[in-house]
Amino acid sequence: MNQYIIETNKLSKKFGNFIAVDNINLKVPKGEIYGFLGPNGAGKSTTIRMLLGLVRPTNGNVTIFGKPMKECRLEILKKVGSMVEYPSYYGHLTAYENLDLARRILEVDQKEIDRVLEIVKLTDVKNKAVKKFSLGMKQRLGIAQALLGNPELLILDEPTNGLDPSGIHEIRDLICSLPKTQGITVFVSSHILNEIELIANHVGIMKKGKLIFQGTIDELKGKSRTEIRMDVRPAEAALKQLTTKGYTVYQKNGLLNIQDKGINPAHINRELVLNGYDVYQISSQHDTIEDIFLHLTDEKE
Amino acid sequence: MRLIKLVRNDVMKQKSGFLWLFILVIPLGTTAAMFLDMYIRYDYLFTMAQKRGLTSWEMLVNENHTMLQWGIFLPIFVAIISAMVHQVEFDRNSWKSLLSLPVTRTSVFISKFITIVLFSSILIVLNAIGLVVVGKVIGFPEPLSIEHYGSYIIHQFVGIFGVAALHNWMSSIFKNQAIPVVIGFIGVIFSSIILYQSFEIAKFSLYLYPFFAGGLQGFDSSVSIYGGIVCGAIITIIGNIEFTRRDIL
Repeated sequence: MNQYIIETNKLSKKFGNFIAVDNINLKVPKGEIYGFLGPNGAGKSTTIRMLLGLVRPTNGNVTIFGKPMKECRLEILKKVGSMVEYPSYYGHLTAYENLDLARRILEVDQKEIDRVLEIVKLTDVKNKAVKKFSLGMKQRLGIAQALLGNPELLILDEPTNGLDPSGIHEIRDLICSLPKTQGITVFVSSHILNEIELIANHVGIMKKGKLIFQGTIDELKGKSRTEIRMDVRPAEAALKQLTTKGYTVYQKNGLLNIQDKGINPAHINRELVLNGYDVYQISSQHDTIEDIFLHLTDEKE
Repeated sequence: MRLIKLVRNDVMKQKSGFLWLFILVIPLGTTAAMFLDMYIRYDYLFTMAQKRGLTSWEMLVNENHTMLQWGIFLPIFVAIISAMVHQVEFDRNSWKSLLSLPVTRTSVFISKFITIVLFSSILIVLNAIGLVVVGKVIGFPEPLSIEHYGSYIIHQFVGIFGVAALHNWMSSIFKNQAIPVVIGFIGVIFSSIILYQSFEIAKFSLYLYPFFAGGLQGFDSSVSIYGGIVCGAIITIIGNIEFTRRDIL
């Protein structure tokens, strides 16, 4: 059998004429943190809602733990903890009471509440009404609820949305520790790449409803482009020279840039010097992961 | 039973909420109003009742149901209860986290219906208890007819099923709970206009089944039983089909 915790097959969702999610095939391996990336409105939330059975797919299907979502929804959801966008809670109830509502439905022991409160460090304020909580605390409560009953899979949609830097840091540490300490698979979405880069080892990138990349962070880095930038004089003549040699060269801010893959800067340098050009400066630039992400999501179809 | 747990949760969600105040204050008001009515007009009303062959207790129910218009307003109270039961899920968009738990949509939908009926029943029972208190304090000469008051309560209880079902469905749709309450209000106004035109048409309005529960002369109170059960069942089934297929965004 497969070792994927989440698998979707040609999953699609249309709202009227608008295609929110278009034929995506997600593959989320067991025990990993899978980062689900994409700009706002790329279809991440709709996809997550389909994974949880909140939204009915127009086409395709979702398989979680090797079981079809359509038929085994209850069985699957027993082992899935989730928080979709901002956390939902009943403001006039205390943190403990909020968790107790979910606990009763999940049919787990009352001790579980204390355990998850301990994990998210809310034990001290468990008898305080949630409406008095800060946003970060509400967010942690949301994660505590997702952790109730030791789920095997955690689905978090934008868990650090609206948090301050220290709050983001806390949530990030918490998410990172889960697969190690509890063996949980985590599926986490975000529109901020840096955040995913720090915690995830697998990524899926969405753009306009399509899954445009899926793989490990290293594979994503492999998509990095190299650019050679040089200050050559006279620039115009050098540009002509390099173009006739078959390189794709363009001029920007008085510097020449070559973007071809697998070119050697030493080669270029020698060629220019031997042909009598003066090379004042030559450097090779690699895309940061952010550049790759922007490059992938900005690309024209 | 998971359904019982869901109902318990739905009741829990109203803890220290406005709903409890609502279902306590309303019967207090009706009791006070009926007490004043009996205190001031008992002799006159009792003479009138005797001519129609009614006891003091029966007369008291009639006063409550038609003079005070309890039978007409009860559906609006049910609509308000329904709005409050659903409001908690819309406040922080808790629908998505509730429905991401291992529960069937049907059980969530039915649980809300039961919760609405439960709170409405408390309202109905408290109103009836208030009447008994008024009768005892005034010192009605006849013994209390438990049978008559029991039947009054049961007819109302079943009579609200249709309203509870309709408003359970409507309240689950509208984020702004004022909308279903206003629809309920309009429904009640229209229905009471029809009521004075033709009973034959009026008996098809689910907003009037609690009114027919009054056992008033000239109205068949069994309509509230049949109507409540039939409308309650049909609307719950149709509403549930829509609810289970709905996309939760």
